[in-house]
Amino acid sequence: MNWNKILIIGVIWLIQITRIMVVIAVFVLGYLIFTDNSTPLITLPLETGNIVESKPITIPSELMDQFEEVNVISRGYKLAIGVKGKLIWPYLAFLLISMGLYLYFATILLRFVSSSRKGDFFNVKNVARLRLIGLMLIGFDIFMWLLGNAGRKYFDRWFSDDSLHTGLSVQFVPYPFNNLIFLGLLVLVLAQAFDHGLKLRKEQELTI
Amino acid sequence: MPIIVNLDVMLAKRKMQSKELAERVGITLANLSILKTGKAKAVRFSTLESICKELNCQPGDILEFRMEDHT
Repeated sequence: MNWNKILIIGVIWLIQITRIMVVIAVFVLGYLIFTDNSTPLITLPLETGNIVESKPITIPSELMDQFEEVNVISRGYKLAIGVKGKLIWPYLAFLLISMGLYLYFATILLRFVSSSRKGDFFNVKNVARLRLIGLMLIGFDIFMWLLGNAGRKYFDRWFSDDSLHTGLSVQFVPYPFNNLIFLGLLVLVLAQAFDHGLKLRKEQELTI
Repeated sequence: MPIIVNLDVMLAKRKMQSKELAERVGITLANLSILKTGKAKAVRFSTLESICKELNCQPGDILEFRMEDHT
């Protein structure tokens, strides 16, 4: 058995475990909500400008010597909103839909990886699967961005009084793979390459 | 496709069966059938050479270009 086969089997096992975990998670959440009377929480990042810390972090003098100005500023809160009463049903519906989509995503990925073991990698179904994976990744990122912004806009009304966010922040470690849109685009390019590979294979098969 | 494969005509002229030609040329009967029905996308020179050798003919006897009628 070579390393490639071991890797593929490992990936298949990992996806299978993920699928099982998603199903278990749905049941556990449902059980906790209905029997344990636990309040499910929605967490939302909330940027409200400079927050005055009750316990300021002391900046080492060595660091102060190296830079012109060093300030420790807390830039945001994480808002945890408890869901109760009638709101529990839309919450549960959203949870079920998102878990279902996650399960569907894992299933597509599993079928895609499994097809490589059967030696039938370049086929029409795999091209469609890859395109769907890419579109789902992009769609998920856009949806989460929209949801986060809508939630922030809605809740900012109650939190934006203290100070306005005026600073400009730059992230120094751009990590492209953290961005699902970037990953989704890469997968779409891969799907295009697969489509081309499929055409080449068909042509090869019809060369006598 | 405007390229017509006249392999069945040549086979009839030589009174040879498809199976026999496939065996002599060294291709499968399924592939020979693809070639005969005009479904093939390409023909290797080596295959064409073998067919011509076995049927004692020229490539032009097997392949023919016919202008497509667009009316």
